[in-house]
Amino acid sequence: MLRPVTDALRLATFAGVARPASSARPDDPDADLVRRIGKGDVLAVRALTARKLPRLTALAARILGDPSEAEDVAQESLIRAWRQAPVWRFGEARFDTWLHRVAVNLCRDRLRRRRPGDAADLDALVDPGPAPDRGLEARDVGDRVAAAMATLPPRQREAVVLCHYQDLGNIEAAQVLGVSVEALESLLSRGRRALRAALSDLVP
Amino acid sequence: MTVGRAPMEAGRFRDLAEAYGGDLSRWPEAERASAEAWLAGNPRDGAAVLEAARALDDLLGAWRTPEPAEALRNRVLIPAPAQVRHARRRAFVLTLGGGAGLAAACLAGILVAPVLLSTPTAGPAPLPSPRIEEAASSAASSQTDEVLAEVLADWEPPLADPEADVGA
Repeated sequence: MLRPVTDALRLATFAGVARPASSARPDDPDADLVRRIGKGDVLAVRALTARKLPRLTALAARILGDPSEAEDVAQESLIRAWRQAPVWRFGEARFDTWLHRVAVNLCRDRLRRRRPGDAADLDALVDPGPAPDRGLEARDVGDRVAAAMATLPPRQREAVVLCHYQDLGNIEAAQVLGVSVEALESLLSRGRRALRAALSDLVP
Repeated sequence: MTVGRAPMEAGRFRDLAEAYGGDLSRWPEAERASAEAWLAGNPRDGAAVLEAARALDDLLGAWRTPEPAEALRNRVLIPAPAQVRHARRRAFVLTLGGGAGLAAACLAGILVAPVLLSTPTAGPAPLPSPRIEEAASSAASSQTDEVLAEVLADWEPPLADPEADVGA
């Protein structure tokens, strides 16, 4: 059902109120690219894709445990980024934080729609080519880690993925998950404890 | 929670390592200086805590995901120009819609004001045709509503500030 203009204005006002001045983060490393994309700069589109697509694909793959679904999530997240760029409000949340929130929400939607018994293809989730400084053993360890991560409760898995793999700070990760920094820390502690237990034969 | 430059205790140092791992650069910025100070005063205990956390970090680092395929890049890049153009047009129409709504309200005010302000005479003064304002507002709102439906479909809730919850 279509909403009247007043509803949209109310939402816009709410959005403004919900972002206090203390959360202003003008040091957004993506700001220049987003501004250029908003003006239709194709080179900026390419640059942001190169910067974000690997991050978003990895994020979704680690949360969903399914590389094909992860590609769809990464694609949809960036499509939304193109739509957002012309109307982005600079100086509030970082664009990368917003993008992570979009991707995490898309992952949650997909996890909710899953039927019990849908299993992840863990083999497809691990990079098949060992890095030059790693042996074949690295892939085995990667398999074990992927399997251990898949057993974590979704919120704990999201917290570990955001902080450890995506390198988000605690404030940004908490914003993405919509929780307090204390709650994030609790999710991380419980998640890492569970991982340590699951991988105890590999941890010295 | 200990924040800022307040002295850190051993328990808090261990809690942070357990949550954020053995690399101090990943720890909360507000507590890093206190943690470094504690580490400088307790090098042996601190090193043991960090080493145990790093062992798990290293294991987690062994899980590497494949790079995105070229086909996926194309699926993202090809629709980009049209998506940006559409969003710019939409933003323009939204602005225009808001302006049209305001204009319609002003027009309605101008038409109705003489009726309301006039003193009653022999008979009731004819009201201006409602079709004018209806046409103006419905044209503006139907166009605006279509755009708003798209905007709201894409709308993500605002990012809450987790710092606001500290101490709550």
